[in-house]
Amino acid sequence: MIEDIFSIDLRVSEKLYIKRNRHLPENRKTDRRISIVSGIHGDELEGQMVCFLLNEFLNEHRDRIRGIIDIYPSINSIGIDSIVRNVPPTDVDLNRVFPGSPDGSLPERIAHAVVEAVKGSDIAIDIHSSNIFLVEIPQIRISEENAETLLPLAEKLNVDFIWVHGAVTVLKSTFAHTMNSLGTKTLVVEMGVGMRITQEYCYQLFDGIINLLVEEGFLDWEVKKPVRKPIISTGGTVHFLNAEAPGIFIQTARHGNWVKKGQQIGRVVSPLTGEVVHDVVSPANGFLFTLREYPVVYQGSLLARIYEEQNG
Amino acid sequence: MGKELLFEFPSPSRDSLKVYGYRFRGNGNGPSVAVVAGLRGDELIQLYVASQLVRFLEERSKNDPYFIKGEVLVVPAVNTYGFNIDRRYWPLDNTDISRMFPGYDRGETTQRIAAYLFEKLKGFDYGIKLTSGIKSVAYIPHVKVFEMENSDIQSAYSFGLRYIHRIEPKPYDTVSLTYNWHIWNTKAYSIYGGKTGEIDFEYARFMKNGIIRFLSKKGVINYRIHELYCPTEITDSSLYNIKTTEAGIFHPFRSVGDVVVKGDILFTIEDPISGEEKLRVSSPVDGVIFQAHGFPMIYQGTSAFRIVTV
Ligand SMILES: [Zn+2]
Repeated sequence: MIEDIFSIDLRVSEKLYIKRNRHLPENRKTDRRISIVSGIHGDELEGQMVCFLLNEFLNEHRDRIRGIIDIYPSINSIGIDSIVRNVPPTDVDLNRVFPGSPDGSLPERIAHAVVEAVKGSDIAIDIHSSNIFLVEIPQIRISEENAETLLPLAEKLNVDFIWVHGAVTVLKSTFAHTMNSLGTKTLVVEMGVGMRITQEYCYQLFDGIINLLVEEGFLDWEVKKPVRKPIISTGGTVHFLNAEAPGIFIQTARHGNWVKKGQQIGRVVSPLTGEVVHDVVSPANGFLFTLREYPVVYQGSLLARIYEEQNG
Repeated sequence: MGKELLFEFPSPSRDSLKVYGYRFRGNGNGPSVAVVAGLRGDELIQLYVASQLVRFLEERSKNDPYFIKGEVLVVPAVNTYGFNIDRRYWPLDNTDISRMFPGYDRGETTQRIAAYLFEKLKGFDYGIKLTSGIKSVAYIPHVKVFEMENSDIQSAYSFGLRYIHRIEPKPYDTVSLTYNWHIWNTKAYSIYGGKTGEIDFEYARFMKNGIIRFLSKKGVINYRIHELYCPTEITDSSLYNIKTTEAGIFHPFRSVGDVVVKGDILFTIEDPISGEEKLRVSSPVDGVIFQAHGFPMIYQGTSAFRIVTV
């Protein structure tokens, strides 16, 4: 069932719509609800394929649905169709204005409408694809304050890595923080890279979501293969590697692999002088879960994140 | 004293980013003030006000060794890369330097830029940020102050601008320059006025004179300037929001700063295809127009005007 959760008239002969696909269990009454949300950033597209796979699956197996499953593929709908990350034409990052307001700017009104629609769900999954700069292994990010409630859910999603990070005040304006504070257990997935689809990751997360739907009682289905056991960041340290000089970043290590201390991750080079301006090496034995994809860098541009296990 | 390069930041292929400040220091023990503008590349009126302030301070201090009693640092432009190619934010990754404070010198590019700048802005008694609000919205010149512990709202009266907008900081404000100045014990004020991408020269004069009035009243400069307004303190609840229920051509009949009485026609919305008038909105209240939608087309549900009611 396709529903509009927000619509307004734009300037000339067009409406801005935000839509969801609601899958209701047949012949059953239930209040249990899960919301799968994607496209808060218009340049992140893996969620488009994951939402397709889910809707296709649920259309074929209507009789197996046991709870309300809402799928919101394109929150920043115009951004998705225009290759624009932020809400056009405002250039405001939607994930910094939650919970929004019904009387505010366009992004604030969109945020408010999304919160009103998702509010009351038991679980929400917010699918992101990093950005155009970094490629990410399928991972879930959880704020420390919610770790206890969210970790057991996150482990069901078939991801490689769960990153529990410290609370940052500015991130209180995200969709996930807002929904968690309203009592919806909300997981943020980051995977792949902006403006592209990494199919392998999409199938991996699709399997994870089906597994979670089954384990949480939204779906009556037999999951044949067990989900991956993720690495959880609380057992070690995340190292950040930033560019120390401007130039072009050339990768030499492979993303999603274990690397050794001292191993070269890549080089920042000067196309003009032919010099290597920064030889980027791993500070530890660890798992290369983030790698820079977009080559142009300034001082400070993030090149890689490596997870070092404390006992490893 | 005079022009100094606060810091320089290299780029892969273009000229390096150079952030300049003008420092004026006197022999007296007056307070110190930092004025920052151009954190975003479309903040043109802010850049203009800061550069005109530099000119004023330069000319006066040249002829009068007793003119400066404290210290003033003026930074007219930070995101010069944005100014040069019509971009509001940092051109490579579209991040907002204005929301990267206090910065982190081992972090991402714009966090580093914020950190290098903030290092130069710490320790002042007062901090003034010239800034813009929502793109394509025009604002009456006014001062905004966060309501926090140690906020010095009384000093905001020294600008003599028409309104002092008191506001509770939201989560995203915690990464602003003014918020972090507060945390580092600098009394901080944001000055708004006009609209991004444009210079309203009359507003610019109000804003520049507001800062000069502040410097004079705080004993930073030896100067007398006439009064403009006895400011009114307002909060969000003093602002009456008038939204449009229709989309299309936005045809305003009143502008920012106008005094309106209940029943005055504020704007009409005309259909962009058929030309017919879809909506005619008159003011439901008496007041002064504080901000106005500043683009000839408008979406449904957008705020067209905010009016201060007193
Ligand atoms: Zn995202």
